Amino acid sequence: MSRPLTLLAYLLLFAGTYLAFVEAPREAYQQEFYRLIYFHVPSAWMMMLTYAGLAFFSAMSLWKKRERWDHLAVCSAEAGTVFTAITLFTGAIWGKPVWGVWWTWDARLTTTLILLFIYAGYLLLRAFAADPARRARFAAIYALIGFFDLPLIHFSVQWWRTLHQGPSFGPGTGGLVGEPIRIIVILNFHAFVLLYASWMWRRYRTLAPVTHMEAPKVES
Amino acid sequence: MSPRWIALAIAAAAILFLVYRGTEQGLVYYYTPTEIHALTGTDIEKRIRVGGLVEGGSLQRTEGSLLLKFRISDGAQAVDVLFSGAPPDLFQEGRGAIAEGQWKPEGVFEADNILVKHSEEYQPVYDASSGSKPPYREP
Repeated sequence: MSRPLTLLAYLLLFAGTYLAFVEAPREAYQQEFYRLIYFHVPSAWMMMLTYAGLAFFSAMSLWKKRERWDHLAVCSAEAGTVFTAITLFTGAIWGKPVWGVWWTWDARLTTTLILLFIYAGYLLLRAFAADPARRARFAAIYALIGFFDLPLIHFSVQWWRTLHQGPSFGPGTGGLVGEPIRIIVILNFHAFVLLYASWMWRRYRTLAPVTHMEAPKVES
Repeated sequence: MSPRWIALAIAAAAILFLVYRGTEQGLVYYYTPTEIHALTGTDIEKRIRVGGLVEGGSLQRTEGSLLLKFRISDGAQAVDVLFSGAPPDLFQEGRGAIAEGQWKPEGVFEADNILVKHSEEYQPVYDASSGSKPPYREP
């Protein structure tokens, strides 16, 4: 099941990349530079979605105290770290030609960098705790506290004056004019969702048997 | 309270502190020209940013130098900006821009850096509303 899923994810990603770089029309103002939004925007959505996943799995782990919820949380956090890094990386490459700077401390960029630190902190925290039950509890509490950054990222461009432009997508915005641009953004988002699902699946399987092996004492 | 809880509390406090420090300046990334004109005392001579639209017809280049003169407007008021250097490629009249530098009491903003602020709108080079076929793979 994981193999067809992975295959489909990469197939979709390949198609999305082709459409973004070859078939998509030039943009009226930014010309070719804007093509990075086809990766930047979907991965920014993904880093939020994966954190929602992390928070949900963490809450379930606290409530049910079952190891599998803790494992799902780890998988989601690892995927989220990658998506946050992609978002920051594509944003920087895009920012240089369009804004004139690779990086600047505006509210949207800063809150996104903080999310990367929160993800990294989560993985670090886990590395320091030895006892699985306590590790699961501390990590879950940490993940829930870290959730505060999500609304900050989302509303940063509306609450505060930023260099980053406002939302281009969603009710009442309509910043993506014309079907081709909208469709390719959504297509790439789906490719990323499938990629996330495939990563979750494969990573989860590597976690599950290990703890199973830890349980019985092996004597030699 | 076990030491671990204290450690966790410290970690949470550190993140909150980082958020506060990180966004403190970022909250207002730039001033509008109206706010610039209202600046008083110590805010003058500080390194600040002014943002708005580059007023149409205000952009002046000087022959033989990199000197650039233009006006940034917020619709109500405008600020004269002086800049020496190469602005980003997308810098043009009628578009958003942010200048970093100093507001001089004599009424000129001396910029040492220009940023382009673009809108949230992305549209293909063809007119989407006209129903014409999009010119994919343009030469």
